[in-house]
Amino acid sequence: MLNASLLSPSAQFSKPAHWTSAIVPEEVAEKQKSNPFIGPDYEVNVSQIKNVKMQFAADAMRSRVKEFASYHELDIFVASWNVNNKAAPNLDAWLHGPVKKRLQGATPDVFILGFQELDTSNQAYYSSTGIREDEWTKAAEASINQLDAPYVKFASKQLVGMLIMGFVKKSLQPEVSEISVDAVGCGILGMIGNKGGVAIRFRLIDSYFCFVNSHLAADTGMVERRNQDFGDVCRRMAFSGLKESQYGDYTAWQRAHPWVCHTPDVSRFVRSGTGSKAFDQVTFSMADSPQVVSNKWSIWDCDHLVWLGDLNYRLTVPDSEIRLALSEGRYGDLLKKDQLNVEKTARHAFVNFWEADISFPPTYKYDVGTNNFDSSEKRRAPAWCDRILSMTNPIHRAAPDIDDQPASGWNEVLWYDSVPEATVSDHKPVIALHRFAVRSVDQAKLQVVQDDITRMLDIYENEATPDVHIEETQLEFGAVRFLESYTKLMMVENKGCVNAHFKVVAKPGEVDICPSWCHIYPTQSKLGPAQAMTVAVTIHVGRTGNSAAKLNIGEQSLADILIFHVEHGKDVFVSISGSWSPTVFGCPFGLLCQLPKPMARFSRAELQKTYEDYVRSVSHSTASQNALENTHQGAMGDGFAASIAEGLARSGSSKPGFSIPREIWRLVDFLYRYGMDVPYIFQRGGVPETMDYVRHCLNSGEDFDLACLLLDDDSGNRNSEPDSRPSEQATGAHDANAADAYQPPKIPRRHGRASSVHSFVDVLLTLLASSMEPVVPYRYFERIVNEGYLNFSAAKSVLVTLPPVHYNIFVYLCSFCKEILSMYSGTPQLTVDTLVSVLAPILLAQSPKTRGWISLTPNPALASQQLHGRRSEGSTQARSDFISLDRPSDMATIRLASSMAAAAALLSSPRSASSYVDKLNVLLPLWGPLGGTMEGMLCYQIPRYRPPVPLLSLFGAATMVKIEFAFFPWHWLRVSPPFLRRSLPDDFHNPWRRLDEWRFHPFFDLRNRMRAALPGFGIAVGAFTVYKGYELADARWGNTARENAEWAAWLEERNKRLHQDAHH
Amino acid sequence: MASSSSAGAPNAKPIQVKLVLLGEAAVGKSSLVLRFVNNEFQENKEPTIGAAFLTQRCKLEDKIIKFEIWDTAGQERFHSLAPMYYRNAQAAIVAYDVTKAASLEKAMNWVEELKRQANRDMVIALVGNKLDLVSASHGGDEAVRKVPVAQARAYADEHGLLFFEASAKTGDNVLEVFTDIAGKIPLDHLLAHPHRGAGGRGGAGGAGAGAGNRVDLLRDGAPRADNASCAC
Repeated sequence: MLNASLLSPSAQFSKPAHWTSAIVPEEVAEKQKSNPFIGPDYEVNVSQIKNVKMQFAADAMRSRVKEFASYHELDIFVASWNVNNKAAPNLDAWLHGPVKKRLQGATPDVFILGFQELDTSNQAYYSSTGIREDEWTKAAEASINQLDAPYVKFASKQLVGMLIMGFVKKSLQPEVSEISVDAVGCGILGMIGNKGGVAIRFRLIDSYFCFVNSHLAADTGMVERRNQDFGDVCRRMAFSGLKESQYGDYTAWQRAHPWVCHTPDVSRFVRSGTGSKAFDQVTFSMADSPQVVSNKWSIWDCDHLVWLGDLNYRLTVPDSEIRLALSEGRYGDLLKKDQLNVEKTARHAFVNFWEADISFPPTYKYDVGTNNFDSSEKRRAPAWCDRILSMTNPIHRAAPDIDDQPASGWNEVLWYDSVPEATVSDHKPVIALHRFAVRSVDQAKLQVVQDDITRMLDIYENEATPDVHIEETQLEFGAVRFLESYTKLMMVENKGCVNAHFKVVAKPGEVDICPSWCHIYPTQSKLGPAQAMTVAVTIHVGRTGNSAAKLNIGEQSLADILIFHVEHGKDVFVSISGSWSPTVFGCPFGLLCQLPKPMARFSRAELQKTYEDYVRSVSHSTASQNALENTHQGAMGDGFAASIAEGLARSGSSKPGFSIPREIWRLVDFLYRYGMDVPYIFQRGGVPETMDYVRHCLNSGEDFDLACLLLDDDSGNRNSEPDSRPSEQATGAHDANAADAYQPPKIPRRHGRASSVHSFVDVLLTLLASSMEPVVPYRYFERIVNEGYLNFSAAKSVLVTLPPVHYNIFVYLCSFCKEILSMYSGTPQLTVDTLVSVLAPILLAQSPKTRGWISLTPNPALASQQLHGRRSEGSTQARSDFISLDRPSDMATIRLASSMAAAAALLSSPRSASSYVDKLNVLLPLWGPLGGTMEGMLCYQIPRYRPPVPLLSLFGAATMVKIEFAFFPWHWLRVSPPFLRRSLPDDFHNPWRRLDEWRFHPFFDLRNRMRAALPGFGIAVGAFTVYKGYELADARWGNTARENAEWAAWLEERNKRLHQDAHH
Repeated sequence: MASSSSAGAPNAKPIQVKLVLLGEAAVGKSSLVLRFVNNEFQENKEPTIGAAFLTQRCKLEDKIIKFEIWDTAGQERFHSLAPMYYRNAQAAIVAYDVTKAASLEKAMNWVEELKRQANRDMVIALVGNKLDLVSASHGGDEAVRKVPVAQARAYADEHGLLFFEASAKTGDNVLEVFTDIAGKIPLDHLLAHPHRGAGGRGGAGGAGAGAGNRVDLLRDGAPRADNASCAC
């Protein structure tokens, strides 16, 4: 699809290109429509998968119910009678008679009888003796059993005056199961059973039936109350028995009967419209209905719901009109004014119930014993109080939204009538014969359908897993050189039907997703169906992590496997590999000294062997180290010229083993010859192409093209014929790995001497920084930082213990620095501070393994003490404190301070070193940011960075940062008093938690906060009490008492005197 | 007219089992899975680079077992990544090619590695694939066989493995491999610790054994693995 291409380094972090097809392919869109797991945005909502599966399975079962279920027609006789507290008469007229007459020999399969006002005595409210029930049951049994088939009572429930009972044909009895009954009272206080309902729920073969017999609030004006009673019965009726049944809980039952139970969205079928407040309470949300919560069935959990009873809805027509209309037989006009019909239409009650046509006269109110309407004083208006309604499960409706009617053949009312012959009560009974379709499920066929649905779900689920393809799973980068970037692009394509969220993850046991020399962008993303994007993989062996060193000696290789993990999907592996071109960068200095030929001519194996020899020789020669040191000490005082002479002498000899690496000598030599007078040396970055060239020359051993490097660009041929390098050198350098078709960097354009010199400095610093160990090896770091050398002799005593090559390099560089500083003495272009701040972090560095942050204290000696103290504690506690305490710049400062002291000690005389340290205390805060800036500049090669007024701006920035970081007492603001620090938990890595931990300290608990809320309140109360006590005591026994006594005496005396005056 | 519906049987909730396929490259691991899941076969399938993920429900008496199948790459260079997939797996199929003696050697290495490093209760099946190439009934030639049945069976018996010779191409024995594994898995244990059992949906997302917390987060955070069950 897209050929892997080699891009320039600048493209390393360019944004990836998306190929976003605006139109999702048709087949994917189709799959999205059919697949229940895929959302409209092609996202798979994993948290909803369980529900989706349930819903899908239920829907599928429901739609295929015909495949495993067959239907029988069964007749159920439903009757209701308000018996007005009368004793049971012969019921033949009500039950036996009509059946016999109308069915001509056939018999209903089930009888459901509902009674109201069976027992209106006060006794019935608190004790149900069942006497009346038995009486009526016997009467009913006697009447029913006159039919041809024998019947048995299978359930009954009484609540005060309401009774419902069910009889079933004996032959059908085994098919009736899961019988449960319940009663709801909503009369007086909304609780008592003078009004309310009783209900039977049972299973007949594989259909569920529910019959509710209710007696609602009476009186014409109580429509609202009746609606409310209806709602109450609906809501509160709950059938137990689920836990004891084979299902165990409601969900299991629901799952087993998807063709019966309501799906959640069914609530809209039974919910009321914008009706009265009372009925608004009857808005059923199946998921949280009390029945489901308490694992019970509600009245809605059935195929057929029949509601019978004395509903008490009246006619809103004057009595005389009613009687007139009735006498004329205009039932239709009256039924339009029937409250039940009105409320039903207004969706205030009995929503979605339906009723067969009424063709019988009102059932209320008659004179007892006659068929005449009420002729007493009250003259109650006739009304159709007693009704039988049914509701069909929305699943089986012909058109669920519009029509309440069941699908044809589902529930047919053969006749619906009243019985005028029954004259015992002031109500006439109503009877209806329903012909229901009763389901029976063939388990074997059901199994087939279930298996089929399971299979479909599997297919859909697999379809809904993301599928990501990567065109190129093997990325071969070819030859890879130091500090160069190689980028390859991979096409990641989503071939699935859902959004794919992929990310690159770490291999088991590793933390990073890829080695430090590898970069991936982006590491995670989202792809829509049929979308593709490119992921860039870049190899860049840089200075960090010693990767160049490890690659050089074969400790690492340029090969890795990336794991592209797709969330909820598969993983794809991508292997990346490249062949490393050994380089002088990152070799141990000792090894560089011993190499007999330029690095580029070594093969990999050869280099590794040389390295092993070197390691062996180093371990042998540690004994003779002291001897070497003495010889080198001589060189110290002799100055730079002598060092150079020595270096020249060594390099001239052919025997392997220079005193310093040849490469360092070549770089320094160039600088010494051509760069000493360049302004701002050591303060500017180099030109990338020149640096490439210089690195190439170092690796291959070629001579520098001086003409090109030194001539200024105003010579006119800046753009023409840039490559003037002799070609035989190139071929000579590369016969070792000619097969690689290695293109050596072209000789750079002429940027002029100054930029060449800057580039050389840059390369030199890179060479020093990328070595396996810095010039002052890692193991010295802690010692130097801790001891913080303040004078020359102490520093020197450490330096002489360095390994010989390292010692040589250190001295060589210091001598060079001294030379350079002498050139610049008295000018602000290069001060000793600047030079030290550049070199110190490179010469003296902390091992990445032990890198951590230490706190800033102006005095290095103090800092080291602190550091030392912290280290010695050694506990996790101390370490976490240690890590979390301070900022990166502090580390750099300490490092610089100490190494500066050490370097200064070497650079200057003993006397000036100590004076320098005095100055250091003042300048210290500057070095952190400054050093950081320089380091950043050098490490990341910002090629065009030219500060307009370099030093001024640097110092300006440094001053700002100083105020920001160093002098401002941030630590005063930090909430970490000692007692809190002691209470910190062990796994204290999360800074947010750390900052928040104080909230949970007992110091800040409620009691303490209350105490602190009114500071001094206790003392004030105490003081006030004492004062008050004193006052009382004083008034009784103290001065005040005496004074009062005196006053009283005086007053008495005065009165006496006044009396005497009056007498006089 | 049975009065009870088996759909509501107590154990209808599927039990999740993580299954991993291991074995040398090109022995037909992916083909076995494809035959089991989709009942199809592709000639010259491109090699799996990475690990493919598929699910399939399998019915066993009154239980439903939901296999979460991780089909891994067979190439040797990906060997070090395999633990990511067989970790936490309850079952493994180690496949070899009956026409390549070396593939059995490799399979034995896998078995040893699993015994050493994987779940102790893991059910391992040794499956010799490409049976069609050696059985005469499918136009194969017995002479091509390089791994005698007896040798492989003896090895399997010795190490307590299930043993099959199957053909993904013809479908012989493929279903049996999976159903027998399902039958042998200690389900009571899984039912008692549903979360331990259902920890399958991790893949490389759960890589990085060092960071324990992170692994758990990714594992339990994947709600698909979280006692997902089906309505049937």
